[in-house]
Amino acid sequence: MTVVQGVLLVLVGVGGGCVALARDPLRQAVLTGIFGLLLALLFFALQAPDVALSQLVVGGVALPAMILLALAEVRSHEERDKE
Amino acid sequence: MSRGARFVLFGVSAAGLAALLGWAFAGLPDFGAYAGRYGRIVAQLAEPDRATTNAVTFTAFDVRAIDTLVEEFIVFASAIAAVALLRHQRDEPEHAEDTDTLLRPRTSPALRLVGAALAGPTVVIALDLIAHGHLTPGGGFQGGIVLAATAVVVVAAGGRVRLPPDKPPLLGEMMHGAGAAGFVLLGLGGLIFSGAFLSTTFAGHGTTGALLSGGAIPLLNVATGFEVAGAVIVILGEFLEQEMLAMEES
Amino acid sequence: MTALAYGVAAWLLLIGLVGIVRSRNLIGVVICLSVVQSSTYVLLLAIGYRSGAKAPILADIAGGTPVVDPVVQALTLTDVVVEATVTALLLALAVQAHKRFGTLDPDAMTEMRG
Repeated sequence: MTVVQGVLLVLVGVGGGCVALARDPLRQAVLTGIFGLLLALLFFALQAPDVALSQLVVGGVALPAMILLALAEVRSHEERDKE
Repeated sequence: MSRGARFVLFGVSAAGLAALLGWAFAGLPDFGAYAGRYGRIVAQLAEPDRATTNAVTFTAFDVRAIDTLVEEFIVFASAIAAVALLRHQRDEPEHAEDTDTLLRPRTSPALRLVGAALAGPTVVIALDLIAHGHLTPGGGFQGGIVLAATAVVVVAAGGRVRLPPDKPPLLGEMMHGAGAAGFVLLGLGGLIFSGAFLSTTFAGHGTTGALLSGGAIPLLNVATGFEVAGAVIVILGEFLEQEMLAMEES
Repeated sequence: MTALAYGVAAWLLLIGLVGIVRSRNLIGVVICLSVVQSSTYVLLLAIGYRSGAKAPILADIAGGTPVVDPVVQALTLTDVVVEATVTALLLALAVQAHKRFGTLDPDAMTEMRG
């Protein structure tokens, strides 16, 4: 195993821990984006360019966008219910 | 069950799971000492058999094509289910006002500039990934999701969103359905012309490295790309319309 | 070093489950589920890796050079895209649950109305 792979594996583990143990879903959304990016780098280091391409877009763009949209919708429902 | 009791139960089970995982992983070959034969045979076969240079696309769309068909239909079904759930919410009476207005979200000029600059190249990169999927890293899934990311970039940079009251986002839905149907029709084409469902040899062999090679694999890539892009665009469209409606209410 | 690769996969699985059990927000549960899913990707790719091998793109390498296993990569790349759509479905369910119960706290959604 090369040094790059080892470092990226450790970073992925730390990132996953941060995402799972964070309290606020908004913070978790941003951390998910970073975690997705680290995973994509790990996949590159493991000689898997196709997987890294999908993971880059899904983890960096699609997943945070969906989480943020769901959070925004929940918050606007709450604001409307208060009126 | 109270929260504390739930944690205790989880702690015990997680310890058992961790022990089982440790025992299972101890039986795996060392990291880097992959000893399987199937992967090696597939990697040897990609070029002589189908003139594709991307062994992963060859595996996904030819050797394991039925797995990819099922996974693509998981994408199809979950996109439809998500849209059905969100659209049911939209038909509630409080949202039945006149929503046929252009809603332009307030974004900064810098964001609009970056979005405008990025949208075009992203579409081109997505189509390039789909088209060259059997030659270089890429393929239907990657290109399709980058194509959907273009829609995200455009909307995040302040693109106009028109909300007709009951009409779905038509382009997204057409791409979605056409891609899913296209995959199955190509499979049936393989059945008719070559005797096996999803056989890709009926479209000719081509020379290695040319754009038109690899049998029906490029066509399957295109169908998958449209299906995945359509699914994500439709889902994001529904989320966005919900959000726009809620914003317009308040 | 074998322990590091498989250990990170097991760690991601377990910490994701801890996040699911501990979370006070349905959307947080969905995010932790995506962490659990990514542990399977790390495991699959770690199994398929060969030391000193190249990526499975045969365009400009001589025939016969060792390449990393392409089958696990094909499985993983479809899984990544499926994860995105299934997470979207789960988020739609979470939004509907909030609409129904008025809260996103899983502990508060205990009653099942007929």
